Amino acid sequence: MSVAAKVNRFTGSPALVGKLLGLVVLLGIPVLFPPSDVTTWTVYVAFAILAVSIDLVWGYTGLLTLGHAAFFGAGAYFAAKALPGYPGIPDVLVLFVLVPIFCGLLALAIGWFLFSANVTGSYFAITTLIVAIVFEQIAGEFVSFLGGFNGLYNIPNMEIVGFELETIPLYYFTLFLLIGFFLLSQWIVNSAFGRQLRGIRQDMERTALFGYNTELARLLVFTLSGAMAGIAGGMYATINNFVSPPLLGFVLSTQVVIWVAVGGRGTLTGAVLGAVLIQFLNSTLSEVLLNYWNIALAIIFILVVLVAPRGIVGLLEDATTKLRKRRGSGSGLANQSQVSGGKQND
Amino acid sequence: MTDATSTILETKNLTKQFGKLTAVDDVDFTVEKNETVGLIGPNGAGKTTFQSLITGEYEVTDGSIIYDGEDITDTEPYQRARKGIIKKFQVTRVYGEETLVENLRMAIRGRNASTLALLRSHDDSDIDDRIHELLEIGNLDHKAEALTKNLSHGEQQWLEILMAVSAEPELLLLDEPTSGMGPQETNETVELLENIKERTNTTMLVVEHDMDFIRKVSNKLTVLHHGAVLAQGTVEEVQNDDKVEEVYLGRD
Repeated sequence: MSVAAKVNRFTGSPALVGKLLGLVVLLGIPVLFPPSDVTTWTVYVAFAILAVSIDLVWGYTGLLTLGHAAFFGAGAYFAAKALPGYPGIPDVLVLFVLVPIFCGLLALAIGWFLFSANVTGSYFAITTLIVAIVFEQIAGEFVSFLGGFNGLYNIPNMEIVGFELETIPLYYFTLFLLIGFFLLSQWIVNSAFGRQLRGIRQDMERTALFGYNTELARLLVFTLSGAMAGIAGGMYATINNFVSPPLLGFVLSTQVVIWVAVGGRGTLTGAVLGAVLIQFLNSTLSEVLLNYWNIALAIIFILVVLVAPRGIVGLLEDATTKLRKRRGSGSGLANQSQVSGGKQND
Repeated sequence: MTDATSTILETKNLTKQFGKLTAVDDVDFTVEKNETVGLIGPNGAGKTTFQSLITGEYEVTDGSIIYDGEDITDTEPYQRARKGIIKKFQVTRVYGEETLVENLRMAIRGRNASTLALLRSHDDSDIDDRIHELLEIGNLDHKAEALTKNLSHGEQQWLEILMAVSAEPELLLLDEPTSGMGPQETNETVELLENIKERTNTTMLVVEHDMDFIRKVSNKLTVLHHGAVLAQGTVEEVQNDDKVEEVYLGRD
């Protein structure tokens, strides 16, 4: 392949260009911002992992979860208790083995209850929302063990083979995790299993009547997503050094759902973009707009629902398609909004 | 027309109640391998409910379903599909946000794939030829990469029939395959089913209102009325049945 052809191929894939641009921006954060802001960006990235986990369940499988922060918060509290409490256990083991097992089992138990009882649609959303409320209440009530409404303080930074990860290394480590989960999720959604998830989202009964075990698929993706959210929560605990009950609650859960919707539900890029962008706008614009920021966010969400149900990524895709049509470049690609190559490359 | 060798489906005293309403009432029914059975009856006779009991969409109130010698009365719908019972719905149930090719991939992969195998599968090129062969049968090959939601109603009906066939069913349930079609499309559907029958010899159970259509595609008929079997037999036998004439065919 000639260099020109390679360049053409590269620029012919706006999604790939967008992803790489986003990656470059995220890699450049420690250069673009002062160290005091890098920790804030590390939190954004941890929440982006939570957004990806929600997108797997909601965006791809169609299960609107309004309680996913329960797993995020459970991971955060588990890490908050285990990291300082058991110095002999390596942090990596706590954060990447024990936390996902704990949160995965929680998700498995809740998912098994919901899916075996065939709880779907709005009932699924309401039940998961109640789970988050209950988890938040539990964290608030157990003062001696979980710190009550004051939460848990002085959670240490994570260590890897004796090296404590501070501001910038911790940022890159969290970003590395986000990239890892992004690629893992991409691998899942591009598999035949991912096609099954999209089938469940569009018509679960139809999918089962082709021979797919839709209950097992939902349970698997919910459990995996819970474990992923738990790891994000564990990272949050070690980034922020403090956890409190709202981390488990429905407010955070619904906020992240909104981020995913604004970014582009059913696209992993959209989940990351929505999470990072809205958190960034939240911290910058809330200083200017004060309490009006929440109203602005609500308006943005309503606009997305009404005008751009496929979120920012959907808008960008449509704009790219129009641009290509206008340029008349590649008749096969001109109908991109009408056709799909089969795989969900995102 | 058929080469019946053994029973593929048998229902014994099959009953379905919704509250006080008995939708399917004590139905004894058999389908032999390779034959095409028409299931007819007035609106509300219980035809679609009967098919939904066979697929497992509805739980049985009483009675049993024997499929290929095995009692499947309490078997999950997906397990019945894996055994070879595949349904085409009355109102099309295709995946509108996917291309025709993806729809067929979905249908083909369903019966024989464990969840782990699905996770590992990232290359479906081995079934590409089969997909395009199927699309050619339905005259849809020129729209292979179009989104299914952009197809006409008739094309969606044909696609769903092709999807059902692509799953290589042993028993194909067709619920009003010509629903919403004009005469031309209905004739084309007859040709499509004849083509499929000729190629695969699949056993079919067809629910349909259109008597001309059902005469063309079936060699045996069962008439349901108020959820119960009113008559069974060859097309000629059923057409000449006085009770059937009175409650159903007489109005046609």
